[in-house]
Amino acid sequence: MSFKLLTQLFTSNRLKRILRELTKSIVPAVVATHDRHDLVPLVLRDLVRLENRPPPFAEMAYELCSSLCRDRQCFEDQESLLLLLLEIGFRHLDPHDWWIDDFQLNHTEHHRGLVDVVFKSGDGEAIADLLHALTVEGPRHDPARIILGICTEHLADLHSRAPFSSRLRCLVIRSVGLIGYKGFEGVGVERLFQMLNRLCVTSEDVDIAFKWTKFLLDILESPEGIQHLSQLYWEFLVELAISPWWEDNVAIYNPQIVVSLTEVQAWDKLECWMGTVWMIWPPGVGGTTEEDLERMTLLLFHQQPGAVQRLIHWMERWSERRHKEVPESLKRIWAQAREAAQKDLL
Amino acid sequence: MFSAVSSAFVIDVHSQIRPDPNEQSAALLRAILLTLNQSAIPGESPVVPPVQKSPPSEIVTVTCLMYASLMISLLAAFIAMLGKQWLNRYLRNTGGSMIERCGDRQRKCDGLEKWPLHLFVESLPLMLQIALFLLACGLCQHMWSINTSVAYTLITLTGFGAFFYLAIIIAGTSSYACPFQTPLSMTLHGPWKKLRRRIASSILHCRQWTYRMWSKSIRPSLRPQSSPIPLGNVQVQQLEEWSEPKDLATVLRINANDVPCVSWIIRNITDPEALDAAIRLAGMVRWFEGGIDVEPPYGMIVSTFIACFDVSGEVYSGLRDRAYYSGRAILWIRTLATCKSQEFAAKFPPQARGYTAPASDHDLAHLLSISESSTASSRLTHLFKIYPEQTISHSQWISDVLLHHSWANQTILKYKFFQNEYQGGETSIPLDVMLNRMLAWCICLGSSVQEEVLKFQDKP
Repeated sequence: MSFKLLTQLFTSNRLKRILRELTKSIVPAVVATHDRHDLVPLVLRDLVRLENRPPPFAEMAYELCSSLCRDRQCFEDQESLLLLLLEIGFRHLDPHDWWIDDFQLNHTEHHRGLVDVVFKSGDGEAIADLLHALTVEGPRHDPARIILGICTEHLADLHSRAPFSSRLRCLVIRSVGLIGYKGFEGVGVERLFQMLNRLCVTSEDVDIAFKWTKFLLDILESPEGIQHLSQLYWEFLVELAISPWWEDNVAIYNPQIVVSLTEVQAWDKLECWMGTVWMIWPPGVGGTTEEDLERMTLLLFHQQPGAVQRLIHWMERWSERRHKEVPESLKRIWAQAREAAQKDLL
Repeated sequence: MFSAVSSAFVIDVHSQIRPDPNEQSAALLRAILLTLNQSAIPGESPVVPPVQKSPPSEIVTVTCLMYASLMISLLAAFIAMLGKQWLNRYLRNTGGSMIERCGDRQRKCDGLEKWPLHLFVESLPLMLQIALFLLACGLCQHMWSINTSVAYTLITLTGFGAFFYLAIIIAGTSSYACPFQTPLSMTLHGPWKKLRRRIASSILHCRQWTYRMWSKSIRPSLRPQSSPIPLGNVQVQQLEEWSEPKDLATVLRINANDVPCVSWIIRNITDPEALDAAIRLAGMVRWFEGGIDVEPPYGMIVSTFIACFDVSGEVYSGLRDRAYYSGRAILWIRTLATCKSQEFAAKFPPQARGYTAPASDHDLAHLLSISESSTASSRLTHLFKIYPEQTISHSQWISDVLLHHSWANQTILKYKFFQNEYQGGETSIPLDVMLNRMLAWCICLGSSVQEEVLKFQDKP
């Protein structure tokens, strides 16, 4: 019998050492020709039963996924093993935890292979596991944006493939925000807006507000975007502008949006847009002029008298949450609008 | 007795400390005679002898030493008498109910702890040792002025005695287990332990510093690598350097007394409570760790287990815990014996079969199902099972057995059979249990987990 001291296992990192030992044991055993190949699923199913799995399990599972994806020809039941590994690593995590200090996930090229396997399985929870792995951030790693980029086709049709649990929805929303509008250009406008309309994102669903702001403003840069983006997302844009996480200089002011909305007489959308503009690009910021804004706002109030109260409400909330003053010119417009309304009443 | 012995010597020396009047008278008469008749003693002239005012200094020193010895021995006797009186008071029964007597006794006991009575009691032999040393010194010096040959003999024997005493102090100080303890060695034991730790720490620092200097300046290529290392198909980050590895030797030393203690209690003690406690421990202590010389009282444990069941194999009411823990001890001893070798394990045959546990007792039922498994594979299957009704302590203990069993039987296990038999479950598993299961899985998958992993076990 060998009596060599395995000092590693006696340190404070006992869990990590044992996990390393297990990884070393599993890697050769997953090959179909290995005499104990059949034990691997038993091991993985056993690991799933561990309550409150600590972060090193996710790291181990993700590393093993890379290994399996790399030598996929060697394995008989690669799909089930991958799904089990993702379950071990990510199923127990809170979907809202997009930043985890203890993680160190190494994204490799081989992880690309996970995308097809997982999305084709149609298992909503497995898809959520994968999205969690790809979107989670930490001090020692970033989200896997490149791998997320190849998920766009699958994400666009996901609503027709798998039922949206609250966990999956949360992770899809985060993934879409990270991918951005440009990532979805390839899937087509119609499919993108179908997906968005299914998701019905609100400000409460968003972990990283900055990403979604950029996403929506990029959509509005295109004529199709202005036309197809539903009212829900215009209101969502206003809420993002009000939120304290809004970052200035996220985009430049585009006067064409007002023109387009006026042409199609989309007054509800214009109301939301004017609210956003007053908050983000007040007169003198981003090339806006007081005259233009005043003219468009008065036009809006004329077409949509109820917009006055809503705009006041938004601006007061914005002022309170962002600790900024409502522009004097807007206050003047409100006063004029009120006077005009009283005259109409008389 | 010692005072009486030293008194005899004191009397002898005491007579020399005062000037002898007879000797003085004889000298004066001699001077008178020579004055009256100068030819009475040829060659001598009449000289008046000087008046002797103080005795010689060596006589004073010897007297001091002997009197000090006598007084210290008398003081020891005095304290001994007082101590007897104090202990009589402690033993005196104050009357009253049992609770009152117990309370009174406890108060006195607390008083003994609070006031350092033990210091007085332990000082008695020390005082007698000091008295003996002073007496020996006095005798040596006294004899030196009378006869040097006799003095040499006395000095040699005294030196031998002092050397012996010094040796037993050193032995007692260096080892707590040494039977030659003296009050002085027990006092010095604590400071010596601290000093030794400090010396060891200094040596370790010196070695680490030397190694660092060597690895930095002389052999930089031998420094530990921190870059990712390939592991099969996976790129893994190497963990940081080993930080404070626990000393396995220390753990083994702490555990070393467990086996003989438990074995002795089971063999010699008849008190049922002590026996139950020992049997409970027999399922946890690391048998055969120091070799296979200390054999466990396996036969007695098996007898205890069998005695817990009636003829139909059902456990007697009230003996459930004894049955469970003796069953644990049997399984544990057999598993550890298998870790040594299959031949050695044959010395510990399984207990008779056919025992049953109450339906509600899932831990005992699980234990019996493991014990009654005929093959290593089926036993492994049972060991891997976890039921939601099991207690956590049982699951934890079973995971220890599982780890040892899979390690011991890795060469003979039929994994195909095990795989067919194995049924996972939905029960969640705590981390401590899972760590052992993971190591067991490593072994099942063919990993070479060393024996020390199994040996390592922190004391709670």
